[in-house]
Amino acid sequence: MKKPITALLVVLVLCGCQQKVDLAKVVVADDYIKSSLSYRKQGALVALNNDQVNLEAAGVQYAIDLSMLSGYDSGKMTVSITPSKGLYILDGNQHTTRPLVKGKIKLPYIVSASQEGRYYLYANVSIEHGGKNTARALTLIVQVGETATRKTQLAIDESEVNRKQDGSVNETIILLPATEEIIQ
Amino acid sequence: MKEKLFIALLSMLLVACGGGSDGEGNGNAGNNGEGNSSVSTLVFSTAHSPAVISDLTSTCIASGATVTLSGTIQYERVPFSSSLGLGLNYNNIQALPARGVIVEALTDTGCVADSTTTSSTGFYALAVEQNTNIKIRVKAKLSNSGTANWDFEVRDNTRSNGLYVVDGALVNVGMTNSIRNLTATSGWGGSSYTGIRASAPFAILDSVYEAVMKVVAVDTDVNMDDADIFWSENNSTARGDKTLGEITTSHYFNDELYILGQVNSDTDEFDTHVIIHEWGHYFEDNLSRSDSIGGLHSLGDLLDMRVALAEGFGNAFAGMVMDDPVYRDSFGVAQRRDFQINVEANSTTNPGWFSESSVQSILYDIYDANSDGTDAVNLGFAAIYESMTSANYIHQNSMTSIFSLIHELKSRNSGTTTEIDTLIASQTANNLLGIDPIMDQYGTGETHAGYNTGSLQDSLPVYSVIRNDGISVEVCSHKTAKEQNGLGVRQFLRLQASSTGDYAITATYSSGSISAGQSDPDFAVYLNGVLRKRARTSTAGEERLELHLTTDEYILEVYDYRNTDSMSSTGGSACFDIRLTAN
Repeated sequence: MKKPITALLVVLVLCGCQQKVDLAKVVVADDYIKSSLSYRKQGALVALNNDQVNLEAAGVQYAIDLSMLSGYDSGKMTVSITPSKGLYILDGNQHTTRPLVKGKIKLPYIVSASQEGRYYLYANVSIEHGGKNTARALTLIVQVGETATRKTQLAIDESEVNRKQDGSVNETIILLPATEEIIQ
Repeated sequence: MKEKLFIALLSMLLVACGGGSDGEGNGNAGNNGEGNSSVSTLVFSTAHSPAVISDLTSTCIASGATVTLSGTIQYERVPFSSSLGLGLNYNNIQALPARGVIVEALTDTGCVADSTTTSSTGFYALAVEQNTNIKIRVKAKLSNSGTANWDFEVRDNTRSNGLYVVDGALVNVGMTNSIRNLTATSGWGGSSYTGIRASAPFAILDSVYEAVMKVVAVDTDVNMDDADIFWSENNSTARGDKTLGEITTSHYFNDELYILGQVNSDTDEFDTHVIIHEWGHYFEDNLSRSDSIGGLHSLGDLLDMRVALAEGFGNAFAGMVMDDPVYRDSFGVAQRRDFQINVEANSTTNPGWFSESSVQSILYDIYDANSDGTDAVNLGFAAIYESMTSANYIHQNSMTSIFSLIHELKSRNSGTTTEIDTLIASQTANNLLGIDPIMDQYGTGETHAGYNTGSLQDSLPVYSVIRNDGISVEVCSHKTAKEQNGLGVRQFLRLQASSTGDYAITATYSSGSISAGQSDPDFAVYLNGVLRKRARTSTAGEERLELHLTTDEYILEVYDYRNTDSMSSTGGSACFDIRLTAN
């Protein structure tokens, strides 16, 4: 009795579209764009080994690695992973704690996207090292298919500020809400 | 008869079609003259995206009698929890004045009837023609032209670099003075963001305002270059296309600041010290000088001395501006976590002239009035500012480092040199980790190497000297500390030509833990911090550069490229004989 219930629970907890992993159909992703270290703000000495992984098609299950570079030879690392909307983590530990080692640390996941597009795996990394705590947020781009640009909510026309002969100025502005109190 | 009208003006989203400023045209927004509140109807394409408008404005002048429109502009700030580590406290959102921002009175044709800047309390006052329809526009822009000049704008890098603004309702001003108070709201809905994060650009700007005022207080006729600050709720730590928000991290580069905004990952709009740290890089770039090469860094690292200074200064500067030494950076789910750096803390891991922790501790102690431990210095910000902006410092032959900054500070504050030396000495742990008394800008006499390199030449002296006298100088590139920007990756030589003419610089492999075939020496030649020429062929074991030199002193920076390629499988310790010969 326990086994069917367990199986049912496993299926239910698979997020998003209630997919289950079919290992026979999982494709191992191998198209990564390597990160070149650039300026970073204060934070933990961890970085992604790759900026981006390219997956060919939507609706396919891919095995990917979230590969990190650690500058610590001791201590503890806690990682929480969240996918962006439309990307589903079908297998892999989304919250894990492990000992720190210097060099590469790989976290494997099986992911699938519902449609072509540009997605993200957000990783919150907390470090305990030498009695001190620090952290860093890392984000892996998951490009599914050939779509180069993430769909935007609004159609936007590119416009530069240009000053016309009558002195008027045409500029793109981003209109934000406010509460207003008028006393007359 | 004055009547108090309270209009809740909610977000007006229009599908962008290049139209004019129609943002308030939703029916009943405005004063109906009978003391009744009215609420704008809303058009949303999504609940979380602001309207993007191609806006045409011009300037108009009142032709008749005027009335005064005045009020207070505020923004909602989410403060940090009083408990360290618990991130932002959304239960204590505060309405604070938007200081120094541009406020305009716009007519129904988009004409700017008057404009002004808010005061330190967020107050503004504008004169507009009687009986005209006017809306108040608040721009996410700090600007001043006069004795002191600055111009900082907050824009959205994911929506055509549009300038963030807040508009009030279009209401007839009547025949008497009136008040219009606007507040940019946080968008927080109790457990998550449910609305547009309108206050974020103004929170960022207010942090910048603090930094600007700190500078103006010590330099009343400062002239700051225009700079744009880019923020979006889409800005994440992904590294890719900035127009998609893939900005890698909050950072400064070339008169542009980028600030993170991705919720449940890392947001920085309310992290004042983070923003001021980045603005500190703008300060170095525009008013002072920084030779930093950037790169990944963390407290405890043994860094290239240029990076140690820039990063340590940024942290200390944020503490100075806020008079709060605790740098906090929020992150995580609902932004409910943070990590902290206390720049007042004198105990550092791996202290030394290569440590940003040591630099921040020294600089903050020089600044603050709190005499603690070995700190008996309280020069304030003015002394640090004057040193960093002096012609001597900006045009120094050497590279920017704790040596050159402290040397300048001591020369300008001779009455406190003993106290500064004591402060410096406190950043010494043992014979490898520490700083000797600073005698000049070159770190002459420094004995702390950072780490053992066995029989190979380490990072001392801080500067070797190379002349066209037939004598070669050996320097070694190591990645023992860390790749790319670690202490020892790059070695510095003072290059002195005996006469103006054409010369050749050569670097030839001499020894190392890697072989000649595995090494790739490169070098760069600087004059007063400006790159003159670089040699970076992929030839293994040697490099050569021909160039014209004067008798000025140049700095030659030598490194093995494979210690900078971010690959753990390449690089190591490689030593090179450096020669300068006349052609």
